[in-house]
Amino acid sequence: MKNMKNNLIALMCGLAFAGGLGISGMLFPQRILAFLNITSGVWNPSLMFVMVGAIAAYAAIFQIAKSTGVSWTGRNIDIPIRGKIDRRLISGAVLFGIGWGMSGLCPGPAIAAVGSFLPSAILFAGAMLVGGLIAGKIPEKIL
Amino acid sequence: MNFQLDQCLQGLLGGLVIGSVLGTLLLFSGRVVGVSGILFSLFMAPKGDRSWRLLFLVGLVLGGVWFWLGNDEAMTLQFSSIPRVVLAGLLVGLGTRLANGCTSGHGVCGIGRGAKRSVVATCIFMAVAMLVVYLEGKGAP
Repeated sequence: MKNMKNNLIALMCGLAFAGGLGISGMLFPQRILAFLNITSGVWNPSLMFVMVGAIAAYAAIFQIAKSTGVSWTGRNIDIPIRGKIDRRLISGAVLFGIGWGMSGLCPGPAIAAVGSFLPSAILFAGAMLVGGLIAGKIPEKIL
Repeated sequence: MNFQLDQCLQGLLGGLVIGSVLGTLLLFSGRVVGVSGILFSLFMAPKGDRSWRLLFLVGLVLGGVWFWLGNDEAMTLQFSSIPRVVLAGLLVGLGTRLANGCTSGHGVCGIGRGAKRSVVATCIFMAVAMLVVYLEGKGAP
């Protein structure tokens, strides 16, 4: 029964997340590309507002989580301590930036786009999965 | 500049929702994760710890179904070809897994908790993406 409740919460979070993306306009790749197109005469700053709102909300909740120390499911709050700015991080950010700049899609909207049933969206999501699997196989020694 | 106040306000509101959901996931699961983190850890997590990740992703897709049903304008992925779709997707997957985060993971959660690592990552992928768009001369309003 508890698992059922947890699963329901997770499902609602997914739906709400899609809702947030939808309300903010971030599900439209064109809107993202318009934001990334800073030199054009039609620069759209809305992503900045999304980030501000999102960071503010998360930061507030993070402080609550940090003070509690334990999650609702009983686990300890697992704050990452690996603070390294290493090759993996930098190269990953560069590669992600290229893919995002090419498409206007990052993982969240890309997964939501699967819900459009457009072949290109499903293909993109599939390629994203494959890319992630490949990255997982790259040994830390190399990158 | 295409500064439309209503779009920016909607952006702010949507952002508050996004941040709140990610914060809820933190309180719920105890983990600082964004979408890419949830997606890629899905297979590696122990059996008992998988279902919330899967259900979140299912919810995200279902929300997408709802959204795209309600939108008449065809979603135009800025692609000219299948190879481009595949390449962009591969790069996003490769990059977010290597960087261990994406716009929600680093951009929201990471920066939200004050991680220097995430600030750096976000600055890099933002700058690179802007450069790519500039070089390609695209970007519809």
